[in-house]
Amino acid sequence: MRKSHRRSFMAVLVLALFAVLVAAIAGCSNASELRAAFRAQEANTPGLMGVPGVVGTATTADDQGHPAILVLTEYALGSGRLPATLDGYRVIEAITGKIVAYKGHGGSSHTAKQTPPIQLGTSGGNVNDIANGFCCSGTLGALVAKGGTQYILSNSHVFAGDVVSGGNGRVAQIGDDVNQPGLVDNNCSSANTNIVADVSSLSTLYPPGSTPNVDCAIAQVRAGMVRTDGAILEVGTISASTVAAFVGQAVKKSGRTTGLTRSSISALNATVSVGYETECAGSSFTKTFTGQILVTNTASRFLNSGDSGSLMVQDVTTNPHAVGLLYAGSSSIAVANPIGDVLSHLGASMVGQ
Amino acid sequence: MVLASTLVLSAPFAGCRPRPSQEAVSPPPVRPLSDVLAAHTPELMKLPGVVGTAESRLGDGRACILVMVVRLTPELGRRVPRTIEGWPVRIDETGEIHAMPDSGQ
Repeated sequence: MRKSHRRSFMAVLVLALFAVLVAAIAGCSNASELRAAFRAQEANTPGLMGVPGVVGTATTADDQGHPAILVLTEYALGSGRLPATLDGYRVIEAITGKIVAYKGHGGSSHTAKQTPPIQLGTSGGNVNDIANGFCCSGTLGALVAKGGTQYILSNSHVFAGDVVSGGNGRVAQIGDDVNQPGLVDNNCSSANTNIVADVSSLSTLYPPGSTPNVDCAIAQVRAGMVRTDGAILEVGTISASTVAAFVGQAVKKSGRTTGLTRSSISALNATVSVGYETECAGSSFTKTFTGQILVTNTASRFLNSGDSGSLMVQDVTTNPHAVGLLYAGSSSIAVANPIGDVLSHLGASMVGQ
Repeated sequence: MVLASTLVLSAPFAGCRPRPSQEAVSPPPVRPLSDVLAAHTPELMKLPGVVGTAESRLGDGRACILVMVVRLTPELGRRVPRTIEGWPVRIDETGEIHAMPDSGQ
């Protein structure tokens, strides 16, 4: 489903680009002119692709409606680097940046087993989170410290989601192993995964009328298994201080399923009724949270199943400040606990610069 | 497909528009938005199909009360007020809101 979303999104982009190019050239040239322009483009493509910084070519129309050769470049090449015309066709430069395969995230795998010490923003969860014929996992979100000890921060429903003995005869307990990658990325087995931490806090969710207004949990890091600077895949290190959310704020997150994604804060002070299960594939219950942060999540491109536990940070390049802890959503919105509420509940602080 | 994506992308913005005659009949707000939201959220959350409320903004940047619904039915359209104590109300069809772990077999 997630892959089909990506394929659909990519297909829309390709169709849109195609439509723009066709629209640009359709009204101004006849078929034979276009074929001639295509031939000129194809004939000159090998030479153009040999120019440093050129990443592609196409046929387009100039501002007079005449066929032209479009040269896609990673950066502005500067005057004289491209010919003004080729075979009588005007050459137009379009700075596109580097063109990469669309995977929903960058080059780093967020599901692969890492060599310790691991970076966060990766697949993980409680090794016992398996029941009713299913296994469940989420994201190991960030690193926090409490009393001089480091812990992995994620959601309660990721580390301590099993709250009834139900289908597997047990509930999540302090000391349960936390692995990387999580069970869902290792055929529901913990064999040969990294055991990186031990669960250190229990459910903040169950029973649903319970007081905590957060979905968070921590697991004490095992020596040498997690980078002590708290680096997050494709985000890097973060700031040790946090920042409050505001509507319109640009944010990003690094998660198990959708990798590094960006969006913006759409609403604050939200009251939301969130659906949970009492264990993996267990019975349903809902819990209502107040004072939450909402994030635009069109077609689940920002947050999707498996991204629970991701830390939401400012969308800045260097040492972003944490904004919230993502835990729920729908195909149009994502929901985060304000990070201040999470840290207050845990009595912890972010590990960062 | 492009048309479909355009409709999807435009839907949230369409939902932001105040409904007809809203401003003509609405007195200006007296209480802060946060107070009004806190006072009215319990009754809004009791409406079948409402899954959340929040402070948000309309397409023109004005602050508003956001009401999230699983599906915008005609009944909800009638029962959710257009304004509350002078604050405009925007209804977003979010679907169910659920936790985001992943499961496999």
